[in-house]
Amino acid sequence: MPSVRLVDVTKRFGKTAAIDHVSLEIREGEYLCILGPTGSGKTTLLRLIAGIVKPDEGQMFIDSRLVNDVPAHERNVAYMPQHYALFPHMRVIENAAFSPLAQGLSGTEAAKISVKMLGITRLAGRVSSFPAELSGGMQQRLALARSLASRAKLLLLDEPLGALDARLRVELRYRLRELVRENNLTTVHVTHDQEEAMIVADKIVVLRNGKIQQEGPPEEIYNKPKNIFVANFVGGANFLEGFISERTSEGSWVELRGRLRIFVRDKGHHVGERVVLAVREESSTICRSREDEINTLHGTIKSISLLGDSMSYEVLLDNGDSLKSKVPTIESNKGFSIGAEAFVLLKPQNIWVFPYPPVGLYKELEAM
Amino acid sequence: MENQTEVGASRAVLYKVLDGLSSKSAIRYSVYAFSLVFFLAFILVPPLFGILFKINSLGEIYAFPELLNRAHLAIAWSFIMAFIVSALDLIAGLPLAWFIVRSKSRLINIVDTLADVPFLLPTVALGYSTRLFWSSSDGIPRFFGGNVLVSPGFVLVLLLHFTFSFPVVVRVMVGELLGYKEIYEFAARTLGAEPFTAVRTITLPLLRPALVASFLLSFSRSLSETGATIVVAGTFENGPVYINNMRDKGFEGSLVYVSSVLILASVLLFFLIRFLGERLRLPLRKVWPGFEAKLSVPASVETRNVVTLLVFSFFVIVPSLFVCLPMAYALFDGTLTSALTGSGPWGDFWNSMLLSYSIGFISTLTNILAGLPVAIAIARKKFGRATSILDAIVNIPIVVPSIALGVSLNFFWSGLRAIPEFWILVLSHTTITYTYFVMAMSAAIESIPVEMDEVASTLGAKPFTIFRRITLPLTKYSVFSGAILVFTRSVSETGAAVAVSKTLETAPVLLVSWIRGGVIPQSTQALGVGFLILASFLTLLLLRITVRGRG
Repeated sequence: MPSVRLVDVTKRFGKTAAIDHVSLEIREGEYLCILGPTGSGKTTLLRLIAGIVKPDEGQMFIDSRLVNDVPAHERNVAYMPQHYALFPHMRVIENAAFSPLAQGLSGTEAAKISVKMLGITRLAGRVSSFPAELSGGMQQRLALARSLASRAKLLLLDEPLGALDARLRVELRYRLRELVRENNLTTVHVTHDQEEAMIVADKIVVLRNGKIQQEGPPEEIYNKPKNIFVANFVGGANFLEGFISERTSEGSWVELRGRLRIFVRDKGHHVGERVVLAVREESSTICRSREDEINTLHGTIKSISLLGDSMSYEVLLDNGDSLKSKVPTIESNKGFSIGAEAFVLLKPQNIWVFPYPPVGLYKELEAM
Repeated sequence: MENQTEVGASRAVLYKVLDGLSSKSAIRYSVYAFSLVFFLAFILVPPLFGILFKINSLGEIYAFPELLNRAHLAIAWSFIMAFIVSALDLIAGLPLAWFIVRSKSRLINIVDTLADVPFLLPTVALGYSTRLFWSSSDGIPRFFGGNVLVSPGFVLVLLLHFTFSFPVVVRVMVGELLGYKEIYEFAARTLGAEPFTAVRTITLPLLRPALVASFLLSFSRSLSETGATIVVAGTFENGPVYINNMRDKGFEGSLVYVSSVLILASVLLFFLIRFLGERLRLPLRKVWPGFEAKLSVPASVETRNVVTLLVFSFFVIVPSLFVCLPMAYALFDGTLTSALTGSGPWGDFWNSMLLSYSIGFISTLTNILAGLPVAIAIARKKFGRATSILDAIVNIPIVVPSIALGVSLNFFWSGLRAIPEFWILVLSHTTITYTYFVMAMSAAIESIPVEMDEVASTLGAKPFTIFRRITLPLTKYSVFSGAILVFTRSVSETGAAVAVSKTLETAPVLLVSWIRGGVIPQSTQALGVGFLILASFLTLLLLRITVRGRG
């Protein structure tokens, strides 16, 4: 299984840096998800590893071999683009056998490998079909079979589930993970779907404007976001502006608009510093009466949305800020209605404190 | 069996060698560089700069003010004619394209096929047919009790140019309308727009690039046409006719003057329209609900369709196919026998057909070999930003009137005395047809998503394997149709051939001299034209069968 190392890699298109001084290490057998919004440079990063585009600066290693100038066909990687690029004039079996034949194997050997891979991807019954005759899910599996047949141990997937409907996407992400594990592959998977990344990845890299914002295991990314962007992009959160009004031995007091005070565990900011508080919707508890002395904010219900397994309540606080609280649907029968009085409890340990962004909170959140 | 294995093994070795070569970037770029040098040295430079070899003779024309005036008038008429014809083509062609794409009538397939007829006929045949139809006692004049309805001259040239450039507009617009997403039009209609208003304010502005392209194509076709125009021109002179007349009389100065002005003006105009076309805003925003509602009612639509079909039949199809009538007479009056035995003028005719086909074959082959790398380079933007410049200048050979191009080519290649006339003819036909192949191929390659190449490459395929197993199979129909286009265009080319010919005559050149000479009987002329048409159709059929066979 190969490992991949990028050292200070930059790729520009004109004056825009699609990838901006990125350093990254992917260990053998690791399943890495590159997560980011549209235009963040995810696909460019994948195409750099595949050898389709060359870096302008920096070094790229696959298995300790410097590959900056190694063409795609000599890198021994399997790249699967977003819409698969199945060869429309070739039957299923010919698509799968393309790589073994291109590598100079005999027809018999190529057929053996491709039949095996089509079996693994459950397409053995469709060997004579053309790609256009397959369903979306089958096309995705064929693309995977074609990649596996290349016997490359580094699999590069660009939004592999993006072209499928929601239900199939959920079903196939588990199958994809299994296949990768069974075949001992190192995988780089590009997606903008944070839920998908959380489920399949060993490690997630969050990218924005060509720069890595945070990398680490899914739990770490979700529970310890390094900045406002990551907190918002992965999981979503409520954001409140304020400043540190007091420091204590246990934490800090933050004053919000309307002189509302919130206690947080954070001690990393000095008194008077402008900060942004972030709290997950599921970590803010909505209640009918004041259940705690501190951090219980009063307001009225502005909207109620059913999200399936949970309900989201938006509360307009007395100071004019809004907070959303997510409650499992099954526990949501508290008789709240729009316009009713409500309290929102924010537990200090669930509140993250970030320095106020130089571009302003609104811009920082919009920049995705 | 053993032989087959041997062939298979040697093919595998060849592929391996080519694979090895193609993975060396130096070799890959040499192929592109070579094809680019070929384009510059054989296609672009000779027609543009050949004329400079004779620039000294330009002074001659100033000694004859009358010739100079005639030259200016001829050039002006060329552009006026091309403008009027292209505008008429758009006015008449757009409704027909609309009818072909949107109508549910069973007539559609027939109309669609017929619309290509003038496109496939060699223009000299078209000119002859048009002349017979409009200005001979066998044609339409007989219904009006005269010998001539439209005498050879300006109006007849206009009718002819309308006939042969009409299918260009229809073909481009049909293609574009088929690819157009009607959803925009539906959206406009659900927002309260009458069908006619929706088309005028939404569809037409979105089809602007195609409208500009078809106008440009029709314009350059009218500007360039020579063979048929000579046949129907009478005393009227546009640029190509003037060049031909001056060539006959040996006035080199006039020849050089008009050719260089036509080359320069057409190239400038081409870039101007290409540049302005992208910025053109159609003033179509204003809406007249009452009037446009009336135009949208079924009776108005029916009337428009009937008028469109009448114009199409009376001004395009019947004049194009009218030559079949004297051809049919010629089959039974003994002309066919003398044609087949090669007696009288027929010996020369068969030689000219052989010449035309040899030239067509060689220039097609040359264009495939030299044009394919350039087509790939354009489609895959191999030269970075310079690609769009290459994309534009590749069009020059079809923009410049072919007789002016021929005159310039002739000067260029004759300057290098060692080149025999046959090869000058081959070179000029190659130049004339180069653009057709490159444009057809680059469009086809561009339609293959670049991800296919990229995926194939990451799967271990070297550039030659990608070309052999992905690009070629996915574009083979375009390769054949591009080759067909080049071949038929070469065989029917008159302008350049007229300009270059000294002792050798290609079939269209010979037919023009038959028709203009007035010595050869009409049945012989008609049958000669008929053989040229038949040969064109047989070539098309043969190539089509080959494509299907390999399908």
